[in-house]
Amino acid sequence: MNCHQAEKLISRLVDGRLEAGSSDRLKEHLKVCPSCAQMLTDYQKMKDMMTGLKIKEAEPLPYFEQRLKARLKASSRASVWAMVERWYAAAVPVFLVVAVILMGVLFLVQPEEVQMSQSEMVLFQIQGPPTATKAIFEEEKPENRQLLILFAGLDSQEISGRNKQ
Amino acid sequence: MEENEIVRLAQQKNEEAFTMLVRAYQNKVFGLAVNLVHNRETADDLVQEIFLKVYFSLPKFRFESEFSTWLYQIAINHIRDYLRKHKKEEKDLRLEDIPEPSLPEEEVSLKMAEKQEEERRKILLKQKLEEMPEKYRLILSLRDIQGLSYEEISKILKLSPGTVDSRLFRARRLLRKKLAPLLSQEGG
Repeated sequence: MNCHQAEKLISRLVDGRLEAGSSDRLKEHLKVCPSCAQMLTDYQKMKDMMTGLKIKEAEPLPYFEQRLKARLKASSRASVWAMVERWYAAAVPVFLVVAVILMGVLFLVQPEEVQMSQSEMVLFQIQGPPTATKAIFEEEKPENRQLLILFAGLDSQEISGRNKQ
Repeated sequence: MEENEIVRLAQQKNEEAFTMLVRAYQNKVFGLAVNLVHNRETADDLVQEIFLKVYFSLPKFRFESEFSTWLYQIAINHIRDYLRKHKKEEKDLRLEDIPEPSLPEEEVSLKMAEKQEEERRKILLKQKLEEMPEKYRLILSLRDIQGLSYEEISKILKLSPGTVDSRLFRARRLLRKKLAPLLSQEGG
């Protein structure tokens, strides 16, 4: 056994945790090593000095409970405010991110272009179906009037078909 | 009422239950703090802060350990933070450097002189402990001052019993080195 190993065992010995076998080996070493014997004395003194530091019957300062209750109330109020502040702090960046995403979506997803038929284009340009109806009635040539009615009929079928889709 | 039942009530913000827990543990936690910081006012303030932390952390307590172990863990962590922030500079302080506590002349008898000497030794020991790394100071305080068992220390500091043993050994070796002049003065 060397002195380093002996010191470990001395630490356990003053702690009352040294097994019988190790204790015998340590005793043998202490008989032949005066410095380790001195070390054992020092460790025991240190242990006594440390135990002497223990403050028995340690009690906090007066009105401990009352002071604690007052601090609890103050801290509870403060913690509610801290929670609100934390919520705000978290909400602002979240709001900004959502706003940026929405703007991106609006920019990328354009409304689909509506394809108008020829007659719809005509109606759109003359701004108003009553004018087109008036044109049918005012057409003097019957074949032309028939053609206009036919176009109107085809247009209405086309529109209803698109709506079904 | 069993302690776990009181803890459950305190978790539901029952003020009376929390007060019962404070009353049950305030002296123990104060003892721990005062033995580590060596100042009653500071220890009192730390214990107040510890119980505030306990109150707000109670909903997180899952009954996976004893309540006392959980409380001690909070206390140790809080005191450890304080010690880290207020670490004392290492000084080559000797027994002769510590002034004798002033006493009226008529009270200075042989017995009183011995008492004074003991008091000076205590001051020096506290000073040397304060200079030690916080992990050594903490384990020495828990074992040698508070007298906690290895198993308790192991749970509180979340260390294996083997680590507790080796850390205690290193702490004592360092303390012996620091106290060498004092130990040699005392004689064999």
